[in-house]
Amino acid sequence: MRTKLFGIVVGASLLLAAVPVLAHHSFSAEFDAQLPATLRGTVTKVERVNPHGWIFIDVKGSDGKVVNWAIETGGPLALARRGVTRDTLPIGMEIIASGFRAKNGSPTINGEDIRLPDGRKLFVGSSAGDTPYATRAKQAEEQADSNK
Amino acid sequence: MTQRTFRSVLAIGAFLALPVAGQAQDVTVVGTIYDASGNNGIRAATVQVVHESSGATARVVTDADGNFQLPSLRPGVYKITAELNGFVPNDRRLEWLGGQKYIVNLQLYTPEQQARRPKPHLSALPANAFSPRRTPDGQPDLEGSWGIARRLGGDSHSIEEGLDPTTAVLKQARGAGYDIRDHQGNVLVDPMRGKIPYQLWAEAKRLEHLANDYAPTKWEHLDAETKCLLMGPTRETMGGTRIRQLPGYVLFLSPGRGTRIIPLDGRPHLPASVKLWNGDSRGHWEGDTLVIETSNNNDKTWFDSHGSFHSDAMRVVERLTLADADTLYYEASIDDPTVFTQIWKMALTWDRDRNPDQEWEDACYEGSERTARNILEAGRRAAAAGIKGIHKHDEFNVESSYAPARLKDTDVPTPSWSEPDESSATRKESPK
Amino acid sequence: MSSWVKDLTMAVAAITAVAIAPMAASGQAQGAGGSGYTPPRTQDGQPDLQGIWQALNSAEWDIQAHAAEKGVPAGIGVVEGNEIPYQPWAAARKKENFENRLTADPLSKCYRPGVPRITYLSFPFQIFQFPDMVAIVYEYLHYTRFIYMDGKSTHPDPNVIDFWMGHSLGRWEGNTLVVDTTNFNDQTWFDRAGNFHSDALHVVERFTRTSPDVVNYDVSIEDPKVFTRPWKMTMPVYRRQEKDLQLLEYECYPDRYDELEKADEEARKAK
Repeated sequence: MRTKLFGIVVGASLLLAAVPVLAHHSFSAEFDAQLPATLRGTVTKVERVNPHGWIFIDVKGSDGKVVNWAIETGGPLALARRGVTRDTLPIGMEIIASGFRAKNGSPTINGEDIRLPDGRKLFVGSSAGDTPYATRAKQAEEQADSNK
Repeated sequence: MTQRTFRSVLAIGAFLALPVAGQAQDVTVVGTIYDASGNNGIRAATVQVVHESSGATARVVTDADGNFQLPSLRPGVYKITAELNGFVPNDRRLEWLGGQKYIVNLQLYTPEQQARRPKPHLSALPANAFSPRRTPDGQPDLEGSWGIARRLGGDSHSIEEGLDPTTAVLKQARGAGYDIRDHQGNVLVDPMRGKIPYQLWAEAKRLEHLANDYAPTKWEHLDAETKCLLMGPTRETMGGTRIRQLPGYVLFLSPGRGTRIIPLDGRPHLPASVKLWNGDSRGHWEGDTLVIETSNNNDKTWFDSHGSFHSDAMRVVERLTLADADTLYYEASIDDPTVFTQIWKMALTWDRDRNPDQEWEDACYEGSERTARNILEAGRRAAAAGIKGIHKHDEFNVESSYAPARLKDTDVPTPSWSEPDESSATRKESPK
Repeated sequence: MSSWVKDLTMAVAAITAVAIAPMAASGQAQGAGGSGYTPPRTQDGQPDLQGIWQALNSAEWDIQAHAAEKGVPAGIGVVEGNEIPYQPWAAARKKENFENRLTADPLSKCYRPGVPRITYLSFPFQIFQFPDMVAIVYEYLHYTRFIYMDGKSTHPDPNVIDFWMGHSLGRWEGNTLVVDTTNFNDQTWFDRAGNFHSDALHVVERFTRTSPDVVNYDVSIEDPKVFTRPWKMTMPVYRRQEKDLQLLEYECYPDRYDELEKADEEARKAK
């Protein structure tokens, strides 16, 4: 079955059935829903390998020092279904990312939204059931299913 | 904790021999009754509790937002039921301890919605014989893509309790659209829907694992699933697999790393000194049932995330039989006399996926390294702050079943720029 | 000449005869690789490559000719012409990788080896053939490659997703299994010597059974971001002969976690 989705031509199947949505780890074991954070920085690296996605950005602190922050996102397939691919976030692009901080104090957030220079806001959150934005994730999946 | 205004109405005449309010050991229970979507509260639903040992009851009605508050109760085991005309009653049996506050949320489904919800697994093979097709070399044909998504339980989080409710139903941010019940499900069939029959010393060891899961301080405290290690023959297979058959082999193929190769040629097992994560499996057919005997297991795997361990003396016997063309019945017997008081069994039903997707690589380890380290460090911080607890499924409890360590001091510099974002602004208000 | 030397000479001649013939025939679409061997067929009529195979060279350490170092045997190399056509910037990067190889090699962190490195690690692998798919299960990390043979599947969009082990589509050319793999990330090396690639890597492998117990393995490498032209590797892989041999496990991660635990302890003591 060939379908055109957001200009991406997909082959026999875009979806990976065998990767369970709720696998591996819980949001609350790693992140704190009471600690939202918004960051502005430039993209240094994007990892899009099943089942995880990571976006790395250089953020300038109030002390002038630059710290590289890690943004954990949903898997690459979920992101693609919402229109986020490698071309969307080239190295050097300045973005605004919002999400929730890691409990261990490292410069890591569980990413929810990314705002691009052209004003577009993209939902990059994971599809796991225990995130603070789980309803949005479920709706995004349902939306993507109905677009097929 | 969320501030709520409760405007519940107490039904007159519904009280029988309730304890006097104000006692130090009282139980407080509040909650919300949601519709099937999990997004909307249902007004005017009746919430009734029955104290099991005394039979005392209380009944309240939800307000316009679906919220309710029960009167002060004495500790004990209760059955709580939500009812409303046009809906199937939903109930839960819970133990409430003195001096505690509980938040209990339930969902109500119409009969049509209820009919579409996950079914339980078969606990035994149906009696009517089903004769499957044969593969070219004469084996009963079990080939296909099999999964448990449309069934209760079987998740590798807990084979006794199903999914962790804090990952399935939300607290402050409500309405993930999951009902705990969709994922509860004890898959043990001997003892039937019971606890894994650990010897006393082993049950204590399992509790230790759960305490370490709450606030892990060592890599070995983290569950294999988080660390992307092989999870042992039953846990690797239980959630579903892709079965292929060749002369002399049955294969359980996995794009992760759980592929199992089952030779059917009757060759002997490996020498006992070779211990494997997924054990050493040998298969043979008994009529239309595939019987797999697995030995040579190491002692490093758990049956689930709840620290349900075994020794390297374990022997597993799995039986797979088609109940019908699209239903595969799977049963696993666990025999490990050094750890358990009896041979125990779990059983699951796999449904055939008629539209399976391609198997694409699951780079668990490469993607989770950072995550596993973050979780471990969060645990170390919690432990250093003296936070102790035990991972358990306090249904609907507000606090996470993982250590609620807060970041008080941080050596991470504050970003210089931060702008309130419309969507996160509204959420920043609610958690208090 | 004494009898053992005669036997040895004949053995060497036999191995050489088998080894030379496929290379002379490489690149030809016709099957049997010039060795004249016709493999038996699977139950579905495909040339049968099934069984447990293993490479027997030191390509995992260095795919080019190299002398020995501690723990590393010498090797005559598996690269045709023994030259890897790096672009100038990439040649410098390779040199840097080589100098840092003990820690920079992704394999030292238990990351997936990529393709074709997983073939020539010193661990066995088992080939299973189905009508629509070839599955190769590797003892190393218990990894399974799925090679889709249905003729209709396509590679996913590389803008959407990449993989450590790429995405593989296969077809038969005579008796040769041709595997086309794309969608790589840029994280793997070809060997421990630091030979690397970008996410534009495109690998074509050719498996041809040239005798009952030998498969000739030819690999074409193309990566316009790193190399000035495509290049090739070639090697035999051998059928393991032991009775009742089966794949065991090399899980790597448990030892890695032990290392991390020790490193964490040292860091704590240092504070």
